[in-house]
Amino acid sequence: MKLFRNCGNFFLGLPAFVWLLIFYALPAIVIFFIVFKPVDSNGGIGEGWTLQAVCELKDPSYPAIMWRTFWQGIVSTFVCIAISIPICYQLARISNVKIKNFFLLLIVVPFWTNFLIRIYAWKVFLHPDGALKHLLVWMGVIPQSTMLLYNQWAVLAVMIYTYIPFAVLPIYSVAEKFDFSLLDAAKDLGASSFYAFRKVFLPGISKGVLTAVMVVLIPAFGAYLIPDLVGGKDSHLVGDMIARRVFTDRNLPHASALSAVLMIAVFLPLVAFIWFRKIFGTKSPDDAKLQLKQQDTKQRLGSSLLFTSDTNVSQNQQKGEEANE
Amino acid sequence: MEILRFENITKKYGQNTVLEDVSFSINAGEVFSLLGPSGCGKTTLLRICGGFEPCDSGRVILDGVDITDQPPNERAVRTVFQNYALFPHMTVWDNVAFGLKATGVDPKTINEEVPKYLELVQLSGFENRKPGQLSGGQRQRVAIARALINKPKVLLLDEPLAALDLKLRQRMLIELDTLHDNVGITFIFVTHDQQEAMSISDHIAVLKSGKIKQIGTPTELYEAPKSSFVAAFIGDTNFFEGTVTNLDGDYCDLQIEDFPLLHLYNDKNVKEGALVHISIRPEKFSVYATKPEKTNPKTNLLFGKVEEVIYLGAHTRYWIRVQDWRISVIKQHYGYALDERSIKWGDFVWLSFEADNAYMLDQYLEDDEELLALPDLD
Repeated sequence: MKLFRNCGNFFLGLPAFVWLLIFYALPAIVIFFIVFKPVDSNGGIGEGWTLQAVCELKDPSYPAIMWRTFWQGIVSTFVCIAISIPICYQLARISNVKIKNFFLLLIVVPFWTNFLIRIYAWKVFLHPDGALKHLLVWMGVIPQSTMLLYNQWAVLAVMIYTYIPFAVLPIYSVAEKFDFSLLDAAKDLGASSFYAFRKVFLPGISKGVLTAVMVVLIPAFGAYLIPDLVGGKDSHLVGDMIARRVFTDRNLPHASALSAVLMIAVFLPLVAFIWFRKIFGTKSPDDAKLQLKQQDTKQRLGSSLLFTSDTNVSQNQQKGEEANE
Repeated sequence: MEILRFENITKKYGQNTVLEDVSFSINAGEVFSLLGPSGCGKTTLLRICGGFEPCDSGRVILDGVDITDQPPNERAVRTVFQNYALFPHMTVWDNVAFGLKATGVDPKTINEEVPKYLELVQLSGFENRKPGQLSGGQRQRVAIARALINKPKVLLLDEPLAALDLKLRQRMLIELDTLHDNVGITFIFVTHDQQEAMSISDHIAVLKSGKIKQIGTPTELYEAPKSSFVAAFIGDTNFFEGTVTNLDGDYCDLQIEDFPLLHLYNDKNVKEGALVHISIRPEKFSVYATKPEKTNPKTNLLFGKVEEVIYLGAHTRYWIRVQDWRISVIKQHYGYALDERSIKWGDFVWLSFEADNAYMLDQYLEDDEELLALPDLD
């Protein structure tokens, strides 16, 4: 019976496995191979093996680009989550389902518009002749010469704008299930609103936040369209460098080498994330049950008569489990 | 000495009045129960007291201080929530220590206090468990320890036993009572279960539709209910409607339609000809298989037919038809029940009760019909 059930699980998981293998694992392996191939004169891949592409990574402009990719990724992730948490807190507290769905819709609606069009909207907004520039100059906040567009700040702003829904959705899905009476309990015990938020709400939604970090950080590290469109000379990221190597230079091994670096950089936090979950995440229910059993046995020996009914419960439970076995 | 006073509390949700001009006070150190059917406003009153719900008008006075506008974290009042609201990501220790940490108590004191309170609720040795690894009763004890550690003036318990099974509920009730004796803090206990309220409380306030129906000790409420609602909500009872005739000092006769004339104690000094409602508790009747000697002129004797018998070990319930009325009767088995001549379905029996054991109600409400109706046996 058990074997059959496992077989069923295997077949259910098969399509996803094949999909990942064909469209994710195999291309990744191919990329790692191309790193060690030479370029041919037509912009394709030559014969034999070489370390040339790896050596080319020593380009003096790269450390700055990598550092920028790194910090912009981290900062945009941090800002996205910092904005999303209060949004999700408020959203989850709305009791009227209609209003709640309306606000959720507002967050999801941008997805219905093409990504490129949204970036072009930002270009119009930040344009030297755009509304924001005129307003800020008129208010005297910035001089006429300041550029709002084509710099790393524009890239950062658009990245944050783009990735906020990615952060909101996983955090909201957890916040929605959060038991807000816990905040009442915390306040009842003398905690200030902020203390209760920090010590009870944030730990309560930590799983959603961890997921949000992953789903924002990974695309943020790989962003290439945004720096390409709203960035300037000094705001390249690894993502658009790869695109440039592929489309402009036709140097596939070089692009592959950069991709490999990026993949490793993304892979490391993912491993850290899984490791973190293993260490700090909740144990599997079986573990908890086992522990409960053991501790109840201990308690039964030392418990007073008044409280024996509790242990009776676990005794019965234990009996039931034994019967199942 | 008074510790908590509600003054003219009114609360509305839109058109719906949840509490209407509720005023009463609670003595320091007692167990005070708010008892009522669901939707009577008892939990709302508790939430107003805890500071989770603002009231539309009225004041809450705690130990002489008006706390109506204080936020929950500034009130010397703690709540044990119905679902316990333990912090799932914290251990038992951290849950209990939370109140101290949140109010900035130094770690040394925390390390001294937490074991004391864990000991008090008999949870020593459970410090490192998470709430998910505890049984229902243990979780409740964590919630109580957590609430008591700040030494509140009043502990509010919102249906604390509702989530437990029957056996455990009875145990926890005894345990709560012991705990109350040990800590001496005023407990306000919200429940819809009259037995719970009766067994633990010094005073009970019976609520209905946002209004206080009666406040008193359990015995007062049981023996001298002011209204048919209280009489029917607390325990079982028999209601009769009749006209007062034949005044005789402190006693009178009651003429009930299609029923023998009853001789009663006229404790309300009702005038002749007045329409009154009386409540007679089932255990006030005695059942006899043969006609007893009428030794006391104040004893009422009735003759009827047994319509239903429910044997419950310690006592037996009978429903006995006396003319047009069906009377609920409880017979305690003082002697060895197998030796007694048993009273069976269809037997003709004699009922007796003393004139002093009936009680006249101040108020008899038509809209309470459903509560008063005896189960339909036909």
